[in-house]
Amino acid sequence: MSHFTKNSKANIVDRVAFEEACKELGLTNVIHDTTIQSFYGEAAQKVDVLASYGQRCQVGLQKNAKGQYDMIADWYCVNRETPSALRAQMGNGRTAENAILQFTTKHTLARKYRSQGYNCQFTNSQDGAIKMVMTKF
Amino acid sequence: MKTIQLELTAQGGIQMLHDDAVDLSEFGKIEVKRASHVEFNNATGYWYVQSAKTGKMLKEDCTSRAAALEWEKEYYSPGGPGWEELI
Repeated sequence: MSHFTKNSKANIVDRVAFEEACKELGLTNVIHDTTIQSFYGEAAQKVDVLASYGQRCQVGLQKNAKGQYDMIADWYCVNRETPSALRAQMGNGRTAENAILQFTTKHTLARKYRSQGYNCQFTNSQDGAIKMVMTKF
Repeated sequence: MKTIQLELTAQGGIQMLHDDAVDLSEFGKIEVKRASHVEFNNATGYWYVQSAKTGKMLKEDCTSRAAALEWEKEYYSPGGPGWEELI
């Protein structure tokens, strides 16, 4: 007797995992405790982490009242100046935000379960899903 | 060896055959539904696995409950024959 468990959209709970995900997706410049601005430079918001690529592609992470994190970006800018690694993950209705969230969850799980002695392996599917296999002897 | 398999969806979700070792609720609200029934057949003397969704008998000749659970885990793993039935 088994049960199927599903979470439709994962919250971001690990700041370091977000940074690792952004680096893997080409947003390699990461700084802490700064601000993020929209395309025209208005509406600056404080963020705990800012990951960026080029001049305009910026994605920030801001801690919320629940102790989790909200992703903040001017997605218009992200879509105008997208690193190739992130671009490769987009399409078929899949946004940059979806891809960054998915990769953040991947790194969150990997960090957590590797620290518990699991070996973690990932396989990309054609539909954009990632299969994760964790093994422990 | 313990093996856990899960799928990270393209839209940023997570789904898997439930395993207590992985607490998906830390990522937010979860939904849980029964995948299958694993029971002992008194007439045949074997354990069987039956789909909870369709009622179809999937495996009827397991000599132990552990063997039935192990078979079921592979069958319903991401990419396995029964995965599409769950998602």
